[in-house]
Amino acid sequence: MAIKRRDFLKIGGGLSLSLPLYTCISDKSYNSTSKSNWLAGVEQWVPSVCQACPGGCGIMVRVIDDRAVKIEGNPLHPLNKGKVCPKGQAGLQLLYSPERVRGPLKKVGDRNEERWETISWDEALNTVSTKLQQLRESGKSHTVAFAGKNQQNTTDELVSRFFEVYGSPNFFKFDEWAALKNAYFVSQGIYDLMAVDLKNSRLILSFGANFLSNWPNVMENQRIYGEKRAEGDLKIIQIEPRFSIEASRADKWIPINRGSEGLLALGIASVLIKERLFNQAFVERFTSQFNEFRSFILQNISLDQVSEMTGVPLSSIIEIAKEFHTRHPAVAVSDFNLSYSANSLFNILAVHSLNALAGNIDSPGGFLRQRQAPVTELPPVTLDSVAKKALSEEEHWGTTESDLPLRSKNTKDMIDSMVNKSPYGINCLFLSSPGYQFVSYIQKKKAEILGSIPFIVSFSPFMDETSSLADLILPDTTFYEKWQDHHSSPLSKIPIVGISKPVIQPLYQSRPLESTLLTLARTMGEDFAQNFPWSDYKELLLYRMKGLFRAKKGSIFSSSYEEAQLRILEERGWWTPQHNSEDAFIKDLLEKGGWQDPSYHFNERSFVYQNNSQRFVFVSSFEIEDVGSNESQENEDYPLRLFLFDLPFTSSDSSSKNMPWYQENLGFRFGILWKIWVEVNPETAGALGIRDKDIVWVESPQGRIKAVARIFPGIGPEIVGMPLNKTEHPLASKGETDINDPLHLLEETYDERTGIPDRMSTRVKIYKARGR
Amino acid sequence: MRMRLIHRRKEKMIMSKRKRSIINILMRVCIGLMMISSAVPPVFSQGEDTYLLPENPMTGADIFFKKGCIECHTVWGIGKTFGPDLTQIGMEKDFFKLSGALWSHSPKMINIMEEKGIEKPVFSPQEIEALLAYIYYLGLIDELGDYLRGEEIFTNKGCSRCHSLGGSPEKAGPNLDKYGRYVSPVYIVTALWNHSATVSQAMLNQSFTPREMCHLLAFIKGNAANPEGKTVYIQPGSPRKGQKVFMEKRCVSCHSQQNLDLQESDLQKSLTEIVGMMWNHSSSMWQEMKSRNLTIPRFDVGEMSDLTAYLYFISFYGKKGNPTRGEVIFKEKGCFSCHSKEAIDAGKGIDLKDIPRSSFLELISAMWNHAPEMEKMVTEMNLTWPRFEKNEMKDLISYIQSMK
Repeated sequence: MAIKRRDFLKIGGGLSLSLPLYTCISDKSYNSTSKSNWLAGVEQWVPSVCQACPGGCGIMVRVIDDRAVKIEGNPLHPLNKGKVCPKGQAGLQLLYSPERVRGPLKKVGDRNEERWETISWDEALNTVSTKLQQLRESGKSHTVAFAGKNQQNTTDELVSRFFEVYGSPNFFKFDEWAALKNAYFVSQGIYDLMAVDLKNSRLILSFGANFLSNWPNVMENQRIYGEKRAEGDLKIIQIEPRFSIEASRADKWIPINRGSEGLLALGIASVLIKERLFNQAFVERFTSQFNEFRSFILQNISLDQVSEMTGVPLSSIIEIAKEFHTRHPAVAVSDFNLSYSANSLFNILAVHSLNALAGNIDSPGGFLRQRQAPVTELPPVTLDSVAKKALSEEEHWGTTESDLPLRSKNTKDMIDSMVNKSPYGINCLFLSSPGYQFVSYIQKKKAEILGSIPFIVSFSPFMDETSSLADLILPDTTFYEKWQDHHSSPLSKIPIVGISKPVIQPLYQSRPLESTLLTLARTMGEDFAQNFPWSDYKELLLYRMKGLFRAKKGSIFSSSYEEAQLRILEERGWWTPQHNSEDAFIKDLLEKGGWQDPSYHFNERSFVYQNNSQRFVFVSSFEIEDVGSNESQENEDYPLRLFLFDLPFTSSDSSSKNMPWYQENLGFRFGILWKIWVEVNPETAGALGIRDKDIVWVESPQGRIKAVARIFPGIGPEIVGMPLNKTEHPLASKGETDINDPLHLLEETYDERTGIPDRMSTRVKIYKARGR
Repeated sequence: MRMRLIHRRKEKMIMSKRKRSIINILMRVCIGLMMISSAVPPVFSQGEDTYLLPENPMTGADIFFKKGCIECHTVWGIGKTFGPDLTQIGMEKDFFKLSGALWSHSPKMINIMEEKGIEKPVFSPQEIEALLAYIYYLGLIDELGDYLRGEEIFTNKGCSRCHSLGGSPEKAGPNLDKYGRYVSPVYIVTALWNHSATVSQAMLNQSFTPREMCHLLAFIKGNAANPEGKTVYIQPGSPRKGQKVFMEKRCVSCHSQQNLDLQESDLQKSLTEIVGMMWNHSSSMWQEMKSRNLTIPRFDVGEMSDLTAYLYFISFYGKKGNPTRGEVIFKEKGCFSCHSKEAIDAGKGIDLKDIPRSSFLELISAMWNHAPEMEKMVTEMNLTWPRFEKNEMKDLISYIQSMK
């Protein structure tokens, strides 16, 4: 039977009338049972610390019943003062990621394949414990290694203690800031980072430093930047080859031939010295070897030559130097971006020498050294004879003692030494979030690693590159599910300790790494276990935090006014107690989210200069080839130089790949949400016949990857820029990130002195691929 | 036998009575001694009220922040600048002058608070006392010293001839490295004082201006060997505890118990100024003590801190108010317009004789808390708001109290 149009309308009209009528008369619409079941959940805001990047901002997590539903900033946290970045907001996706490992897994079959079997925690811990005991009993405890990221917190203390008691010197912590620490060691005798007193500076002369987008204290810097710019009291000069976020916020962007930053710094130093625009009082009192440095500059540095080699006009060099002198206090800053070049140590030292010439070290508006938070030291360990013997074995870094600390503990050295079994083979390797650089390097060496290390355990909470190597996965929780402390980066002026509380109970069968280690310690015999007397990790953490109460300094997070008052009191030698007992202190600490010491004491020579002379040492003993830019040789086959840059908040970790909201955000500014792009100068693009958004191949002698071309005038015609840490699929495991990672294009060159990989000298060509 | 027993019992009773009386006497002596050693006499009396110095003036900081004073005033550059900087004001005025200033400016304050939508804070008598003690206390805290000027002093005053610093070879005088961790001058002054017997004549002959002392300390702290950058702080001194120290250490032997001579010395100065004065006069003080056969008292750092706070607070309340002058002020400032018999009958104000007997803190608190209504009345009657300068507030309060 055919339904006519009129019939259809009749039926439709009837239905539309009857539906509301039905709902009115239906029992279900007034079902009192279903109404009473609809109860509001129990809401709470839990203070914690975001560790999606190394910043450690204070957060407040809204939890309804047992589910975290929203992340906001903790207004009392001195770093971010209530604000939270897009990555922090996206943290819930990290917590509830479908990529989470849900319980202990054991690899079955071929080690090169990823076939897993679910096992119980008891079985997993028993397997690891048995392995550790077997190696220890056979005198091979030193062949067990642990590789993780540099956290400088109680977790680090626990891991370090575990391996000391066990008898292994091989606790590897990767630190992308190592090159800067090397430079400060050379010039000031301290193997530490220096903070920039941004709040009191009037000029930031940045040599490619990502201080507004990728430093651990970026939220603090952004806040101060906003305040100072509103007052009109901060000028920024950004010197780098690419128009970065910092360049877009600067008063001046000075494009430079990459790798020649140090040379430009010496050019500026030359103007300051020739025109006597340096701080003579400071140079006399706080520096040494100035005369040698001056002679070196006067004899070797020609401004015309500097201009030619750096690509910076002569007039700009003179102008920068004069402005650096007049806008006192001014600071010259660099960061890990200068580390990744074959002359990294020279570049960083040359930039830092400008700070000494201006007298801006350990003075307001200059470079400062943070004092460490006074947490309680753990009691000394009791070592048995096995541990003592094993600890006397050489550390497994592939470097000799005399190389350190100039030679950084870098990924390449460590993996190569393990693969080459030099000085000895590693029998068991533990991996815990060792960082992006490590992850990218182990991919290249996967087969050799599997061939040389018989047993690998991963603590990764996600299925990732480290877990693919493992024989056993003991899944750690995310930071939202466990107790931790976070200490402010030394790039911040003041020590801040944030307390990361479990916002919810651990999901699935995951278990905090710290609990796993404490459990393992108890299986290793009574003597071993007595070095770990804490019933759980929270007890250990709070034991350390009591030192903050006993130190009689600083305060638990408080209002800005109270913080300012305490700072003024402490700077004058006074301090007022706020709590009558340790218990009251700890209770308040957990409620407010942390502790800080807001004061800074300037001009403390023995703290800031720890070399023999207790002065800043000007270095002038560089080989002249160091001074030149490290541009690689011209190559007709690969005419362009590759410039790799970090996207905001991604410099040191790979966790962002499990945050699709954030990944999408990263590409938003470039109009490309889920693809890797390559930035090409319009002139270059025109010459190559490449249009905006064309799909192109970027090829180096190491291989090629596919990317979307973006025509970008903010990069020089001889350079192409590519982002790091960008994934191509919302679910990391399903993306092509592994094969499309620009790090695969890099040639294996390193800074000879530091061993740090060179990210600057790879040459590439680009050409159109089929399709768009 | 029975008699002997009775006698023995009597003897026992007598003995126990004697024992009890001896114990009683001993206890009384002990309590007396304890009272002498611990009792802190009031430093100020007004009418029938007596007042002790504040135990901890920093408690007022809490009131300052929580009651929103910071929304208009700055202290040490913290806060907003609608109102005056109270750091300077605290250095120039005592309790009554501060309360006079609070009253005098209340109409302006009320207007600004209304404009900014800030609720006018209400203060209890204890809060008024704590708040004003805090503002008064601000002046005790020094400005920071200058490293380079300290270096100049260290060299020019010849300190470097006797003292080693920053790992330099040992010299005749004590090594100053151990003072690198201390910011407050109290530590070094306490050490100097306690080692007075061994201090060289050359050292005794040195005198320092207060700022010089600050600069010198900045230089010593900057150059002392302190590779971990450790800093030890001291709690702000307690005026009340300082008064106890003053008595226990027998400072009263030379300085009168009412402290009149010290009050006249105008010790409302910064900490470094006070300790500088102590150092500059130490030589003559010690000679005087020797001549009187007195032992030079030794102080620990906390005691020295409390003592300086006490010296600073000696003039906190000043001298007693004068009710006769207060009566004149009452009339001259127009209080009469609302509180005379005719005005009371006309319902303009209350009869001050009718209010229960009140302490000066209660009166000042009531005045502040009722200022908005009073201001309204003054405007309606087209009168000028009374302003109190110098000791006028104290005299006026004294007069009001004398009405009872």
